[in-house]
Amino acid sequence: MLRVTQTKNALLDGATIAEDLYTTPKDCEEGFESLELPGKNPKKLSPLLRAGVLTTVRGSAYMEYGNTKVMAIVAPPHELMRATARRMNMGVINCFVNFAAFATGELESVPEREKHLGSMLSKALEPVVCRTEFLNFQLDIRVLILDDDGCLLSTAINCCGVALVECGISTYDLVTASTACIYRDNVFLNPTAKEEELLRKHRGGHALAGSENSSSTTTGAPQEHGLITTASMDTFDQLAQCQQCGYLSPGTYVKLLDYTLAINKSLRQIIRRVLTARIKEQHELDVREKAESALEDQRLAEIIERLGRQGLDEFIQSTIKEDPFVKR
Amino acid sequence: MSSEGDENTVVCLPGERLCRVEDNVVLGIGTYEQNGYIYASKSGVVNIEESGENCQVVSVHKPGFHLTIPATGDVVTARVLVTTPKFAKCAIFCVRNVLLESSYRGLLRKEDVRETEKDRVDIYKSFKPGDVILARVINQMEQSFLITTAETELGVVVAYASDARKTRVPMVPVGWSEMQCPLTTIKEPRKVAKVLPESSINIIK
Repeated sequence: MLRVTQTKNALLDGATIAEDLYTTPKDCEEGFESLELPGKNPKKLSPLLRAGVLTTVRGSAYMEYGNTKVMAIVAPPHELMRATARRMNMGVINCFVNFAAFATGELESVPEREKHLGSMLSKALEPVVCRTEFLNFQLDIRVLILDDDGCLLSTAINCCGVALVECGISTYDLVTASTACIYRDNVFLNPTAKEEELLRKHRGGHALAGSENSSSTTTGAPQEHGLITTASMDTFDQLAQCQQCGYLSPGTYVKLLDYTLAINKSLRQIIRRVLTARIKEQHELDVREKAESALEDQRLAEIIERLGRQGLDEFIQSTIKEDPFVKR
Repeated sequence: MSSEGDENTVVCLPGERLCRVEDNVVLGIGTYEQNGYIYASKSGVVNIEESGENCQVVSVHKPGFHLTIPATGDVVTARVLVTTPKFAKCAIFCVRNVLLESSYRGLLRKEDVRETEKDRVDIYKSFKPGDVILARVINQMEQSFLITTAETELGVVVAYASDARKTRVPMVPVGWSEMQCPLTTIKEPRKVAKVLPESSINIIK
């Protein structure tokens, strides 16, 4: 069990900040009350997913999850920019996350969050991509966040997984990710930005078991609060990434993990459906193109045959006659 | 798991189990092996081809865009960018018969220009910036592909004379080490490729 210890902050020059640290901030209280609490069975959102949204780039995907809107772009691998970035027998994955200017309200934390999300994203995608296939190459994945309303990382991972497959880069499996968080015994699946903000404010200290109890039982068990982001590959029951913050007991942890894995499974079905439809569409296009080029070949072969029969001059004469504009 | 299409096509997604590994089954493009099974690593249409000696090649063909990376032994088409006394830097823009979207860096060392008399090779007598060459990939180095033109069929294909560059009339090869401009009749040294006509290649096949 975690015990509350007084921490000394060097910046405060000996002054303790314990009083403020371990109580729930007032605005958190208000924020919590304004939230819509989930019931026993937390609701499931149905995401909007599109593969190949951009025609100028080879691999692109767009995903809407709740109010979060994310676009991912994968470019074909190219040579390493710096030789020092080379790793042993593996390709390098670089993820660049960018917030659109209108995506989020607080602009100060954006560069930091972009960097953090980028590194987390590349860690999540590294086990998925067959990195041995593009040795000494780097794969650039760009993510544009159009609207930020919670569970950015998991949505970005889902979106990148689809974009990778769309680009034709070898992956061991389809990757799906989801987020779950617990706050005051309420489980939020795929939390909104408001709920995540509440948790972030809490991270400095422990949430005590309700504000009215805090005065009487100061050594009481800290309340569980935390956030889990899980990326899984279901074919081999592997986790590509599991990120956790906050304070959770093992039981709760397993419970949240199970929730996220269940969402991952359902997401996987959606991704499968989208990708299968996409492949069929492309396959039909391919077949049609092939038929067209076969027709063209046949036409050319006929012309060549006629040329052989008639000789050049006669051929030119005959083709001119067929031209409707010359006829007039 | 896989769904049947109209024309008996089997569509698969990455991580989908295709079949069991057996002695007469060979892994093709877009597949990998794990725990005694063959899985797909790309999305696309499953192809099972019969090859000689009772072997079956299982591969996944992705419709639409196909990713190509030059591999060792591939013949590539490249444009010479910079020449130095020791090497020439090139931009590979075509692999086999596939035009690339973005060019890859290629490095042609002095030793790899021709097969014979390697020590007497001068880069400036073999290539000029702007030439289009045919070359074979030997190796993949950290930042570029090592390529060679040490074959009679490999070398400069298209070149322009240095001073008549504006006319954009390509020079005509005269001999294995010289090219001539048809307008000004200037001769310039090049490592000329003996380009085979397409019909003769088909006959060999």
